[in-house]
Amino acid sequence: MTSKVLDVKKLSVAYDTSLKTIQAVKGISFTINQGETLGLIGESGSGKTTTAMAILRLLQKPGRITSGEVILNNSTDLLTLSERELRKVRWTELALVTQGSMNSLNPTMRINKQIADGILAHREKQNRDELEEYIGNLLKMVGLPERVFSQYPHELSGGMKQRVCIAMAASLNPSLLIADEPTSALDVITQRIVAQTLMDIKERLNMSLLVIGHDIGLMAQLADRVAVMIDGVIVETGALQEVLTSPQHLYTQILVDAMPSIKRKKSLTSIDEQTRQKISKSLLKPFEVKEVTQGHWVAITQ
Amino acid sequence: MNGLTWKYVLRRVGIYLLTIFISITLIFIISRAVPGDPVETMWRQLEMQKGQIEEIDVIIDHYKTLFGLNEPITVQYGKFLWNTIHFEFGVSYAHYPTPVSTMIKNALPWTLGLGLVTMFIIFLFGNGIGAIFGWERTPKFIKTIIPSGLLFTSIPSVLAALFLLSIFAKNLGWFPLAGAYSNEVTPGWNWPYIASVIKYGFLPALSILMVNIGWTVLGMRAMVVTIGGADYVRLAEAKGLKPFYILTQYTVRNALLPQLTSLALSMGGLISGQVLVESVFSYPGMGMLIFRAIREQDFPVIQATSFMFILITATSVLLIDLLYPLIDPRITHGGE
Repeated sequence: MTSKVLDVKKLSVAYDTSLKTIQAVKGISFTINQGETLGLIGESGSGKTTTAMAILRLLQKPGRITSGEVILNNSTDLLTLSERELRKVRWTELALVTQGSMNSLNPTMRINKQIADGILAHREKQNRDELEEYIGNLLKMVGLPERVFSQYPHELSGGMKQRVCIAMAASLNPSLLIADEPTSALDVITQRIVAQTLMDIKERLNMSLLVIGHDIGLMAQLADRVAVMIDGVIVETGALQEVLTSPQHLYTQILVDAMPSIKRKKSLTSIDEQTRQKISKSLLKPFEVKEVTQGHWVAITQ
Repeated sequence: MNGLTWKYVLRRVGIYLLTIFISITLIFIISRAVPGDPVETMWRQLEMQKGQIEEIDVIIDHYKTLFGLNEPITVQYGKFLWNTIHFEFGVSYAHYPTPVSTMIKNALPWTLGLGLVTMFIIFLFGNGIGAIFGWERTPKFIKTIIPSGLLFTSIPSVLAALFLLSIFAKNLGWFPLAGAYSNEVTPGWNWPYIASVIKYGFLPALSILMVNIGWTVLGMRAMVVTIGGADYVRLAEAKGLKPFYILTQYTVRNALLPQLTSLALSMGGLISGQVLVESVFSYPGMGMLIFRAIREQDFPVIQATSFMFILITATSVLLIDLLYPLIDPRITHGGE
């Protein structure tokens, strides 16, 4: 019996604007098991990042969580925690690697200090030498040279910055790491290195991982299971292989068709406006989530 | 030292020296381009006082030789340059034969004291208050105080000075009307003297502060709001850091650089505002000196004070520039 690290139940997020309230995430549910990697796939504006930020309770105004539960390690509901309690959970249990490596590091602080302040916020006062050695090891673990320790973010390349972010996120050995488009804005080779680093760290520290992205190729490399999201709704969840080989929902089918293959020659299709509209409309109607095969769930409009 | 390299320092000092050289040249050109020369002004004054003067040509020639105005323009320029960089400004016309350098030596400490202290307070408090106003965790009722701080920003410093003078010095009598210290104390490192200096300097400092602090507050507020939305601030939050630590180490630390830039840019305005404030309070500083010199058409004093003001402005901008790399490690590398 595997234990659930994260159990999201009927999570809804809304953005209040002066004209109307926009439902960005509409009552989605999913779970992540211990040691598992879940890939959350979706196009821009589908609510992937909003979901991640809601789990971390880092939504910027005017976004707000309207309903739902986010249960961590079968015990705490993150949405009911006070600010103080939340601060304790952050980084020790839930860590984040953000989208875009360019702006995630404080430009006026040395790398070692940025990693150290996360550790010092949660641990008792530590021996300085031990702390430095620990940070040095973290950097080594993500494959960065020693000099990075006392460098500033602007002295590093995009891929190096992202690896610093991964080292930083792993510093307190959290149970769940949320990686929000960890490889966007990087070239393909760097993407591969960053993805590899992420996998290594995950294996070594036995973390669970929630990877968010629109790159199915990347997902295929990282994820055990995937969830496909569109218009704030998860339309299909299942094991990676199963979803990619026998997609059930129309949107997933189109998504898989849009992916090139090196094994066989096929013409790539893209979604046309009409089909897209049709899918959006169908999702406005009430739908049922059915288990097609073991662990493969699909939203079916009645 | 973080990013302070010799190359950077040398380049900045080079620009600094060039600025000073150009300013001396400009002062030289302007003082010779204005209609009428100092000698002519002098004999016209004499004429007005004493009527027709005999052998006026001899006198004019004598004066011209005395001031070196008969020499070729290039020689005059060379001498002027040489003398200026040695702080030799000749003697005052209006207060003959007091050397101008003595007058400046007496006035400079007052101006520097008043200006630096005020600027320091403006930077420290302006940014502190601005950061608090911009912080999303600050209670709303505190944020509504902003407009009252802005109220004074739109009035000129002279008016603020007159306003404070008439209320706190004339009507209430809490502060003295003019001067820099009381006649009853002896200058030196003793408490009564220091207390007196603070008391006399309070209103001039307050009027400069009142007018200028608003911009610093507004600038900092805008910066803190902008940077508060940056990815690295959000990540700092995700790290579970304490909110005040994030404000100081992540937000304000990155907001200070543009604030330092705007301080450097506003230096000229601060100094020219101080000239007027000093003359309202009859504060014996450089502002008062240049104000009187213009009224008395005292050319050497005008030239010398102008030069000193440029020197002060350029030096403070240089110091700020040298501070940059210590605050932001990107600066040195960014220029290459």
